Amino acid sequence: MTPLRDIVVVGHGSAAYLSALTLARAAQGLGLRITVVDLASAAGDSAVLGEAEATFPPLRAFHGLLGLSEAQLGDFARASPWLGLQMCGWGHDPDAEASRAGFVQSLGETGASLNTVAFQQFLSWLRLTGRPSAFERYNLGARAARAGKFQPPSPDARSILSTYAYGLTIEVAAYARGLRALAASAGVRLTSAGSIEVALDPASEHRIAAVRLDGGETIAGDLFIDASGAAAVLARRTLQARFEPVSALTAASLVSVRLATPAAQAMNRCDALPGGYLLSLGLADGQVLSLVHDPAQLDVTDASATLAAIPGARDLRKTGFTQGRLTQAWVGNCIAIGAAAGVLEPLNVSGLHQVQSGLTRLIGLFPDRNLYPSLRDEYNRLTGEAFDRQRDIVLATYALSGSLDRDAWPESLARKIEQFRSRGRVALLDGETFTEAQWVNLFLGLGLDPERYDPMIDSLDKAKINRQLSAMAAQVAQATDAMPPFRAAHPMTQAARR
Amino acid sequence: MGETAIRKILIVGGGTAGWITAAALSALYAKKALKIELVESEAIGTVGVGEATVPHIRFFNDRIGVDERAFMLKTAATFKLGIEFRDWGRIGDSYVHPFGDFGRPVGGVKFHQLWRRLQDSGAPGSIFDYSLPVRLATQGRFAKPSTETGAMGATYSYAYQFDASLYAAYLRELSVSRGVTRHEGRITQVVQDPISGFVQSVALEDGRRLEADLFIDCSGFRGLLIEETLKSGYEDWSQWLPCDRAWAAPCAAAEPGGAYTRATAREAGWQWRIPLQHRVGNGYVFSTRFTDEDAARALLLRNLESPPLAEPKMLRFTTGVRRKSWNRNVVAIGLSSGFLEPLESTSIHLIQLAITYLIELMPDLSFRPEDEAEYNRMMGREFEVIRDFLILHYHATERDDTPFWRYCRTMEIPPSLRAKMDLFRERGVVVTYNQGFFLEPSWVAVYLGQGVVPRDFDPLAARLGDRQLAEMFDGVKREVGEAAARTPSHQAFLDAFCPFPARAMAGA
Repeated sequence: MTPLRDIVVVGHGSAAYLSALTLARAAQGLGLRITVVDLASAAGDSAVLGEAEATFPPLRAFHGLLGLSEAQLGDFARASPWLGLQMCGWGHDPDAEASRAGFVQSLGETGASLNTVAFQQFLSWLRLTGRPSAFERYNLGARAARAGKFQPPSPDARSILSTYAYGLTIEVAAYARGLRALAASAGVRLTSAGSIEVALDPASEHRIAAVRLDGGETIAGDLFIDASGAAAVLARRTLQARFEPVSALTAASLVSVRLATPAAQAMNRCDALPGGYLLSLGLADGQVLSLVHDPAQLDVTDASATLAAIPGARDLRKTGFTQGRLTQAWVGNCIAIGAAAGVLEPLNVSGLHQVQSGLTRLIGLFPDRNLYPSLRDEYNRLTGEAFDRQRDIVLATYALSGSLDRDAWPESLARKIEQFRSRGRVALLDGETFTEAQWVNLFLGLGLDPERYDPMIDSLDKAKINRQLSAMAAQVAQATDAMPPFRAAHPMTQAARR
Repeated sequence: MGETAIRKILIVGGGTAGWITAAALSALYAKKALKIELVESEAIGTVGVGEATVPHIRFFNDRIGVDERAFMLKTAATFKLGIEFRDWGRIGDSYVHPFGDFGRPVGGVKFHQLWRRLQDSGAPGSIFDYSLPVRLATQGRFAKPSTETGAMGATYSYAYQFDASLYAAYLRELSVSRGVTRHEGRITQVVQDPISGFVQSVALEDGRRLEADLFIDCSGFRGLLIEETLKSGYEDWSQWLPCDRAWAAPCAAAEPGGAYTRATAREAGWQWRIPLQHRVGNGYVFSTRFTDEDAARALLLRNLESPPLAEPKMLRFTTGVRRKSWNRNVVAIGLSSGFLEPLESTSIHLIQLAITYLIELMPDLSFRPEDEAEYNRMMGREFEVIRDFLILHYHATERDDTPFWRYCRTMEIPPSLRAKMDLFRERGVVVTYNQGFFLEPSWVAVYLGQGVVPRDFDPLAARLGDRQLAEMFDGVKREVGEAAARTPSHQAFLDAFCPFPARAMAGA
């Protein structure tokens, strides 16, 4: 084992500083030098497309490993908890009443299995026997979110309060600044450059030897992290990693504004509009509204005007992006993290989740100076799978809203939709971000009603099942009523104190 | 599902596969909703040898209402903590693949990485010294694992070894008590729909016809419905797993203990030893490309610990998988769906997986293609993962003493296994996956037990100081020793828990 001596992170924003902090913590005591070369002129963030992001529950656990408390995040990243995303106007029939009220894409469970039969099978059974029942009645996270309630979940698996989960909506620039300060105190060396030149290893054209900053300094490294956003200045521009667009998703644009009024619910919102959707994310001290749109259907000027017309809107920002990923995020001695590795629109997926899962894989496959190709290949296999499963979440939403032709569905998605439509079964693959419950939620919310229910239900005691299902809905309603109201002012500090 | 629901299932064949299927379906479906029938012939023998299992059987048994003590009493069962492999990596080598962990991870770094690191700076000894189930197995001890999180006694799991014919008989009785109808008779004809090819009924020798909506083919290697009738095809894997015959014979136990199965590598294959309460099941799995049947028979008889209690029986097989184990309204379960040699005791596991997927994808009378396709995809994946793990045992060897071992050592292996081995050989990483059997400790056991030692370790393993690490290792070894010393002998545990009545007549 010949340990790495120098890791150089080149980039900016959340991907750069989350990488630096994570590596510094993981390599504590190994004498490994970590340097961040901040590309100060870069625009936007290196992982998140907009100004804010609704991050998923696993990032909270990851913060815990990094020693980052939620009270801290509330303070420096204006973080606010969310239980679900209200999706309005999606599905095949956007004018239907149910579609206008939307469904909540919850982070928690819907119902509970009975006699080893999955809960959604009973919903299919009720519907197919003429007694349809809305799945949200059985989802405590969704009910609480709609009712403007919030309380941290219980760790006691027997309690109904353990059936939901929450993520944090964060302001990404503030989050990156906070991580930067933490990285510095964890011993990461911080530098910055207006531009860099890359020196390749004379012995191998796939290895970077050093980066030369425009200020004159040269920083050599054994391993380079490319956190420079979609530009991928090291992986793509220098080492020629190939970018593969998601062919079903065209180039898109995101326009955003800020509002000073915080949201009244622990819930974000996503309204489908002609040519795009409006994402409303609630922070501790305000909201960020982002209009994600296809410029061919809704041009940027019109999108900007729509947002600017909202009373109280300020800080108008625009960004364009192309969706896809590098076929090899790890190339030579360089690993692309965040948007440098892949870009997806923020429709039920998270750029920071991709950063987190990339870093988790990197720690698990942590190399030494030998940089074995077997490690690289495994990293790339897993990274590709993880991206593709997130891509399937985005595509599923379009596919089931009638805006993606059947022949544009990847095989993995076609199979998932077919299995659910046919019999309410979720075909989980390697590398999934969504849990089974989240897929069930998304499919049912988008109106993909299974054609059959599990025949094992015909073997169960119907009267008993009916009683159990009613009891579940009643329990959810009671627990919602008993929950305290969501305090919009400083929910994080409130939550932390409880 | 109203009018489209399947009303009747006929299971064809009553060996282990047939009766596990009958017991499971009759436990989970009400008789008024789904009628289960089984046809078997006493004239056709079953492949009933000593059978060893893997821990998943316990969860399956729980689900289908099989009581542990009751079934162990009836099947002369013993507990199983793992498999001892002798002479695999090199002649004279021995290791136990345990149902459990090696040591404990520290700060997110795997124990085997820490062990590999300590090899460079100290003398950690064998990694197998840090496994409680290995210690228990080699000392002939057994107790149920502790349920206390973090306790040394909670670091392992267990399975069973039992008499497969007694097991089938036990499940038959259970199934019949749950309303399964058993038909005795030989099938002479399979009647198909002339257009769709769906099976409509089977005709018996005495003229009876048995109809059903869904047929489960548990007819063994021949695949009466799935292959002889529906020609579903077979993917031959014998270029990687060349054994194609086995001789099996029971004998009396000459050594105590027995809470583990043994697999000893031989000239042209390997020999199993499965200790039951009343006798020991033995067999020699071999390849006729490298030896002949008579020589193999002689080799088995020469290597028994006591005289055989019955004439050796021979089994023929081709390792591989049915291209479609679900075809139209026929689902093949057991040997009719494919064959993987019992080197890692996966036969019953594959049967239980097949039943689990069948339940998850239970068809209705419309027999949609997506049910069939999904089932075949899931089962194909399960077979493949186990296949790779088995090939590893043959390929990770330094043996070149016979043509058989020279072939195995140098053969081209599937790319899926090649990538896994490279990753372990270079940096000790075990490839993990959502679906598919064998968790990390199993791969670690076989790799390290057969001399695939990583060139390098996880750099993060260097965070602990040498002294600190060595002390931690000593602590684990001490804990293993103390936990083992508190554990009763396997025999004492069996005598108290499920003494087989006929044990006194051992040899009968």
